[in-house]
Amino acid sequence: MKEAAVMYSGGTDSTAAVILTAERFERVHLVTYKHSGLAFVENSGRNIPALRAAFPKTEFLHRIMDTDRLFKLVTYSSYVRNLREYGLLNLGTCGFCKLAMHLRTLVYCAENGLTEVIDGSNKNMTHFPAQMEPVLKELRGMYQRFGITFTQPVYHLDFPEGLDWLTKLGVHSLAGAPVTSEPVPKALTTGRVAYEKGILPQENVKGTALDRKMQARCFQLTLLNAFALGWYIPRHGHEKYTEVTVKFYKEKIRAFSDEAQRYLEGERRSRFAGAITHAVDPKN
Amino acid sequence: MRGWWTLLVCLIGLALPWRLRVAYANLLGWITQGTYWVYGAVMKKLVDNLRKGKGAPAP
Repeated sequence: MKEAAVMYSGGTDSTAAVILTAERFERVHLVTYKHSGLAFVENSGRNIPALRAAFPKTEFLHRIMDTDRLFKLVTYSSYVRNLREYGLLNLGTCGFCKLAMHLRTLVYCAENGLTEVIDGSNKNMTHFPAQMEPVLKELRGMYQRFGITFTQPVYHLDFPEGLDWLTKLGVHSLAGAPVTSEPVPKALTTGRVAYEKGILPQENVKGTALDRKMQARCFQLTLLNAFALGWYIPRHGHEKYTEVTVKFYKEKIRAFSDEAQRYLEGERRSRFAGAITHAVDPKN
Repeated sequence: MRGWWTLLVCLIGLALPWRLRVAYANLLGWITQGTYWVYGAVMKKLVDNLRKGKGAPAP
């Protein structure tokens, strides 16, 4: 049976990633994660009935697993050393969270004989460590080490326009902004992919009430935003931020890749093993 | 000046253990969310009044 795991938050990007790949598989494991600070994880199941209806030949399994201890371990491993070397980069909460999810997905795939992992990473979230191309390359290498292919089918899709508040409030039209006579080409966004497949009621749901009902809510990103957007990037520039972030994540990914290797070879006494075992949710 | 406040916020975050850091991030998140809500509500009120004054239709 041809199977794949999709790291599935329930949001527009991961839903579009499922839409673009589901036909290739007989069974798709939609893996969703929960951890401290993440609320309304059950929202991730909202679009699954529509996906089942749109792809009747594909079986969808929804797994919600706990990555709390793994997230903590990824964040605080070699913490003093990392504080000395990387300082505020240790507040890259979203990157550590995503790395914990990848590690759990890797173990899940290895234990269930899956050889393909898909996620909804996209090129537009430039300050998110796990969505930077060099970090993704390192993650692809990590999966490859275990015979697993990791792909990002929506990475190059466009970012929807008109998400800022002023546009939503109609300030531009009120100010008499000129209307172009040239028809604006429609961007190929993840929202459009989901809309055209009949999964979403409109193309652009990002930031809407529906968007909030489709996925979990997490405020841990405020720490990443404060340090990256409020302090580091204004002082050192985006290029330096990317360079240092990539170096830091390469180290983390390589260290935890070794941990995963030892775990899959039978090591059960490590902190990594404890975090992975804790991540198994008996309800799922 | 705002940058130094940001640095302070970050340094507190760095010093906290796991559970407290999660709670701290949540607190910051709700403060940010609240600020945006107030900003959005004020902007909407202003734009609605301007639109009413100009006789323009709502978007």
